[in-house]
Amino acid sequence: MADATSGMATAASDAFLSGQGIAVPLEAVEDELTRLWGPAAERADGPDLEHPAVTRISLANLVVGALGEDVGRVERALETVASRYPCRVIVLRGTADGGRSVSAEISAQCYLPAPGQPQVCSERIVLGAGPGALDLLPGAVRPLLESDLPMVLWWAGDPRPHLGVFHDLADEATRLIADLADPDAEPAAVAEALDPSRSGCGFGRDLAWFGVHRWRELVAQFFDVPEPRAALGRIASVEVRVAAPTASRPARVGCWIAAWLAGQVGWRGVTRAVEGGQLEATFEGPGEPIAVRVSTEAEAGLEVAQIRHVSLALRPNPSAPERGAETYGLARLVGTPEVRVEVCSEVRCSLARLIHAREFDVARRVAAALESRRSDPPYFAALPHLLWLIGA
Amino acid sequence: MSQTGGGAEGNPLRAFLPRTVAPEPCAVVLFGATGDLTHRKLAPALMRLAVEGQMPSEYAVVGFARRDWDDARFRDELRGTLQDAKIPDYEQTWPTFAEHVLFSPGTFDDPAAYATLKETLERADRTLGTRGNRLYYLAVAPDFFPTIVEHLGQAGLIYPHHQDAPWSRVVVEKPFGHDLASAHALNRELSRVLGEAQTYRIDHYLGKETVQNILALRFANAIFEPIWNRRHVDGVQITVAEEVGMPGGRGAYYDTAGAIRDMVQNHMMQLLCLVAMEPPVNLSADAVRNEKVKVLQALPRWDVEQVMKNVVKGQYGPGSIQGKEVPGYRQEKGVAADSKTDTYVAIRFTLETWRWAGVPFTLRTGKRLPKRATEIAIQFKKPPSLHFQPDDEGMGGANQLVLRIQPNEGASLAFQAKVPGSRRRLQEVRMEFRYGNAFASPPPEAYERLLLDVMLGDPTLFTRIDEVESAWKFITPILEAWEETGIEPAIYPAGTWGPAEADALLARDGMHWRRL
Repeated sequence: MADATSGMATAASDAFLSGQGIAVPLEAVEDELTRLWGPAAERADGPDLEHPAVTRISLANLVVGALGEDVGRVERALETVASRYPCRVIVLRGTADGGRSVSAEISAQCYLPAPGQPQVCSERIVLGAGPGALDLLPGAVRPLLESDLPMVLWWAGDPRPHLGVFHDLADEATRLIADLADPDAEPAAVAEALDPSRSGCGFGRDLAWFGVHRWRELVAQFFDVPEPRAALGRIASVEVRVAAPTASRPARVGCWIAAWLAGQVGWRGVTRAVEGGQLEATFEGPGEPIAVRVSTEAEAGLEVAQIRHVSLALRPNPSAPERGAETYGLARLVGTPEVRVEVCSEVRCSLARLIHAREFDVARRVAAALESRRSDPPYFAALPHLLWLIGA
Repeated sequence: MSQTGGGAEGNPLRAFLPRTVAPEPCAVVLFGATGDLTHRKLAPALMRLAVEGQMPSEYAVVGFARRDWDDARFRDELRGTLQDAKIPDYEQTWPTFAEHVLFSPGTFDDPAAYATLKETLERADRTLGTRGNRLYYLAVAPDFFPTIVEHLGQAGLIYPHHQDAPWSRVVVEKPFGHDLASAHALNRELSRVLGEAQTYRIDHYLGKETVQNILALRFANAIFEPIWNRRHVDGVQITVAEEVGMPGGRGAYYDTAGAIRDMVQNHMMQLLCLVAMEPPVNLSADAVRNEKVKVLQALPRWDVEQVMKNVVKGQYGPGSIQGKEVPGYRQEKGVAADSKTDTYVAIRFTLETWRWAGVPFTLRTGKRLPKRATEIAIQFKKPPSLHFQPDDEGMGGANQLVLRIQPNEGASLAFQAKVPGSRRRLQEVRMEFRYGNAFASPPPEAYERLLLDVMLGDPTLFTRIDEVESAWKFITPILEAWEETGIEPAIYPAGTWGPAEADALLARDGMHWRRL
């Protein structure tokens, strides 16, 4: 009897550890997790390939709001996110259920850091609610948050259809990741999601911001030595080309590059014009006006908008006009993790070189968001410019 | 330490036996034998003591209630209760236990009922060997305490305390009074019949292993005492969070009490005492209680303005918990539609002692909070200069020692560690101790320990009258200020962590409430 019972417990634990969702009553989630982790931790075989021991890790509570969104995209991303940043994940999923109740399903996400090492596992709780029960979700989430750990809200999609739930959760989050479609999200949705005046959203980030980190690094490198740094004031134009799932609007990821420059250098937006995926804007800087262009082209098969090209053109140095204008260019070699860097001027014309700069997909962007510092002055300096560029 | 001085302590045959002190034979009389407390807590506790062999060699459990029952009927009633309690080895122990169960019918104000009780107890002395020792547990509303004790006295069922003579002890539940004046009055009434040594005012929190462990943690480990003071502690938060609302139609009683009387005046004051007290000279009952009283005497005495500034009164409104809608307090059965009763209280104060001057202590308790949890969090001061990039996750970044009273009983120490690979970035990590993982056997239930201590005559884990009165001296001005101002409670949705006003209370010190 004891063997049969322990065998059943091990089987349930196996299912749990393999990522198979186990439906449980909501009020029994914690007890069931405790029950399922027990046999997992008691495995006696030690850290070998066939029967690795299990280590449960949780660095944060990650609440994922996926009420109206493509849940599959979120689920795929979670696998990678959990391997880089193990946390207790609570996924909020909209269902077609009638009535006023919240369903719960639990599973573990495990990965093997290296052969011979214990599996690192964290738990996933999926809460489902029909259209008439969505307001019950925040009350269902709160008791499940692990104490002493930060709560990060990753909201996928437009928050406006579920504003009550969004605000309830965002107000309690230590940080918010707003994952809105790029470029399809309406500017008003972006403004609502990123409103810094709300307590949780005060530490909110547009997920698209984490798609420009490597590009920011590459652009910043151009101005690392003192002489070109002084040239920041001579930027005459910025052009960003983006490939995106659609070209309905200028891609935010491209706008973020321009907004970041504006925030760091001290530009002020003057005019903007949008036609489909094309944005033309003018900024006022310390010198003469700066022209900004963000071009978005539709490319089939893309999950997120990706920057393909960034170029900056500088006016001639007034103290050395004979040197002529300068251009700094970055171009993604499509289908590769390489970016070609070109700098051309009378004084410094370098051979094109390749830099390894992997594109960040949704999972890597979320992981970067989780690992980043909560305080991010460049983001907040850029945010007003972004909202202006997208017309929010 | 037994107050009787004799019995098992002087028995040389007890030497080196696992249990060196055994209770003397006695009769445990349960007033309110058909009530909720008896069925949920007292009967299961007595049964567990019997299963573990910790009941006296001869004992009786006598139920007293207003039912026309006999011994067999009461045994049947208890059997049903105890079966549901899922006590290990219950089936094997029940037959023997049942032989010790008796019943005495009657009402609290009927002298004839006490005459009947006396006959029942004398029968227990003859047939079950209880030798005249009596433990009267008043599991009834406090209004009945004086009546019951007076009748016990008149019936000769309470006798003066003498060494080596049968003893009689009375256990009363909290609340002891509903303000300072009523506590005084109640004590005067009881004192006409009982000596202080015979009066056991129960606070079941003191029976919890985790609460007792506070003393062990503080005074059995040398590393904590040097930093357990205002030079190193930035603040102390004590939280008692309840998920439940008004189960079993408890609204009518609760509406006369509120959170401040139900939780703060007793349980939370005891937790405060154990955290803030000075080391006792020894672990005798009076030595420990003397130090606790000093903490209570160091509490501030507020005027109305200070109460308004330092106390937040809240009440839960409709909301949802665990995915289920729940009504607001004013919609609960037995609660007035315009009730101003507090279901949530948050208090900020300082203790003007050498150890704690200037350190903010914050207490909060509430019903219909997101989850049930009781903990004490000691937040230490941050380093004087930070050479590393500080934690910026909004979690404070300071070292915290958290004593979890329930659930997940244990303790944890949070400290900063360098994130691997980063240059100087920190992340908060925790060292944890959990009872469930550290000890093979589960800790005893609180009432088991407390009932055993009453039988042993050990009052350490019971509150002395000066503790009760000192606590009321702090609480009563708050009640009076609320009465005088007619303050409306701040409404918070059920399933949230309380009203926003409570957040502002901590924000003054640059702090925030821990999320449990």
